[in-house]
Amino acid sequence: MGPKDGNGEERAELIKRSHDALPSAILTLDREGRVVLTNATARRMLPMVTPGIELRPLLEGMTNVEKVDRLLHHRALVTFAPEPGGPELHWMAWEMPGPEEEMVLTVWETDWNGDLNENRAAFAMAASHELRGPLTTLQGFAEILDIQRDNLTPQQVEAVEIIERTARHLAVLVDDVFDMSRNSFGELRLNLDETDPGEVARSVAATLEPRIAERGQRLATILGPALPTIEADEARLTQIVMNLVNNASVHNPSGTRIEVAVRRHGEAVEIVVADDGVGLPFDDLDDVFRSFSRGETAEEGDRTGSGIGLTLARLLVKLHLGEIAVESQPGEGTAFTVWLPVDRRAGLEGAARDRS
Amino acid sequence: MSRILIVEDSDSIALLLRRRLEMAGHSTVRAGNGAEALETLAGGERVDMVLLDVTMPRLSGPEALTELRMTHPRLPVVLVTGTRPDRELEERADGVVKKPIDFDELLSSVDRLA
Repeated sequence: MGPKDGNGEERAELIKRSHDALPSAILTLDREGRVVLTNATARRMLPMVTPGIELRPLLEGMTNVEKVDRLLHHRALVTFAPEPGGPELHWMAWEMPGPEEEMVLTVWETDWNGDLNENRAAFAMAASHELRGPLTTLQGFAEILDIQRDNLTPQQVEAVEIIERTARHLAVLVDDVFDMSRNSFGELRLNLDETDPGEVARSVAATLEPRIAERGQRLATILGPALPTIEADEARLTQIVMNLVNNASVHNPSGTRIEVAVRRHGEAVEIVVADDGVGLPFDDLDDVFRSFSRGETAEEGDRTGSGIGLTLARLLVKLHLGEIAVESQPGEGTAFTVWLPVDRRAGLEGAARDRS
Repeated sequence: MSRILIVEDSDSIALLLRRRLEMAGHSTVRAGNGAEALETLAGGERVDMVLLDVTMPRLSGPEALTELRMTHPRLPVVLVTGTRPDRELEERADGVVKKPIDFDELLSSVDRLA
């Protein structure tokens, strides 16, 4: 008799063995949040999680309350190491169908480099397809006009030359992005030094202010007291803040106010780039960090073009052992927050605990 | 002068290829993806060479190349691609031209192969 038509006991045994065969840890919670069931991987990966234990206080001892909330209430994917210095694990919670409000958690371990490589490959593929096509057309037809320049007026020749030059410039930019995504991310070494985050914010503001003013928008920089220096790659940190400010500007109308605030929060430096603009057109805000998802209202021929900026920003924040989050309300605006550890060796976990 | 099959899903890039090839005295026929290319050839269209995009719906460049090698083993195929193809794919093709297209390079491969 096969398991399909077997009795209840045989089926329960089969379910248990399937459960135990999975490479992810599985924790089933009752409505009180107590662990009622674990699989073999959970018992190996998370020996401290035993049946009957209340999970929430246990998790709060491992990471900060905010992350536990995001995991258990907002059903967000969160990452933390259950033991200091132990492997980072990814956690996800799922509601079980039915009236009992039970929950099942999956926890898995990913090799950090493998994860990055996967991102990098997807990034390079998407970028390649999205950017090289239009660039080929632009450059190619400008060349056709150039070949026929004898039939053009001097002003038309000038226009064609500018288009060709711009297309070449774009080709270089595209190559840069590729090389970064394809070759560098896995091996990218940050050039770490004592960096003044306030100075970074000021320099980004100085660079972008003219363009923002041209669009009829305002930019304010607010620096908190007693800002510490942090161990960071100044050029990369500048790139992160630049991407966020630029993003706030190009996706919002004239009249939008953009604010860059830098302050200390315990052992972390918090950089908030907020605007009072249109909000992000995403149901799932985490989508903004995925390459080439630009939201439903992003216009054809949008000024920012690629949709790479925020993905790049997040990768760079992660390389700094920091975190980035986004909040947005339609019609009210968007705020990106970056947390960077003051002491890179202590990491953000200690800093995050101070914050909550 | 040669007759070239352009296999490209983007209308504007297909038109660009056609214009430049025609300016060089060649004639062209276009297919919007790999499956259409095979249909065009099966329908009796005689061409001297194929310019093959890599990322396309229905039948991609690499898949179409495999089919073409079986149905038309002598037909030269040049890949026109936005990404660097892996070595295995590169070795299966008669040439690779990168986007944005260097037309001096492309036209010289046409003269050499077609």
